[in-house]
Amino acid sequence: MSNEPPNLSTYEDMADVTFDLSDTDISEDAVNAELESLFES
Amino acid sequence: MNRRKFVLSLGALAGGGAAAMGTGAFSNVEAERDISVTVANDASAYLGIQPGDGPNGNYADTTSNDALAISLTDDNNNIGSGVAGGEGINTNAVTSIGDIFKIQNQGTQEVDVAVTPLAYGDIDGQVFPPDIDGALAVLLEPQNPDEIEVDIEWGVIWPGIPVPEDVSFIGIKGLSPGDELRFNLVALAVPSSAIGSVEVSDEIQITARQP
Repeated sequence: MSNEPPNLSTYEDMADVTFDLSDTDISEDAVNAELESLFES
Repeated sequence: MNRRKFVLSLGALAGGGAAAMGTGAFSNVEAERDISVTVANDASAYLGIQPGDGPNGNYADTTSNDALAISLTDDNNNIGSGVAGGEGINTNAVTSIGDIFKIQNQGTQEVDVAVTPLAYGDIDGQVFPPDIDGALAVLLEPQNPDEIEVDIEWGVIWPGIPVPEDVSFIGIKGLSPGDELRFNLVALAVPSSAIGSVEVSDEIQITARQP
């Protein structure tokens, strides 16, 4: 059994929302990296 | 006071069938903060909802109903004794908190679990045309499904569990007695003017059913 870590797209698809970080100091890659690092696979 | 609030509240309501039978087994559990009737506190109920074992468990607080509540605010009672004074997340940053709370099957039978919602947010301003003073997003993430060998489905519910009203949820298949699924929190707030303008004060619902 292997579960894949989520990323922002996982939440966007699930909640039907868009996280637009284009004009912010936060990158989508940084968020995805945090989600992946916290997930124990 | 300029501050940002984030409160997730958890409570427990055990199904009446299990209590009436007195077997110690449970077939159904629904946990929701608004339902303040409890048969046991969250820590010792058949579906245990507890702070994480590590220091990040201090971000979880206890309400007057002995229900667990995640509190990244100045209302957290652990400030000064576990939380060293912080009262909210940073702006223009990604805040990640691992192992903030956990769900443990403290019954006798394997159960399937649904957790909802997993995405929370608040926006101050208007989206179209864009004029945003503040935006806050909070995400919950299961931490160790592979360790305890449960199958996670994002946005899919398992047969027998009512479909949650919120669209963001996970189904957890096969949580065995004694197993605990830990949860992480990732939050982001932008821009700096978000301080004091956005907050999340919501609920998380946890439903467990015997397969």
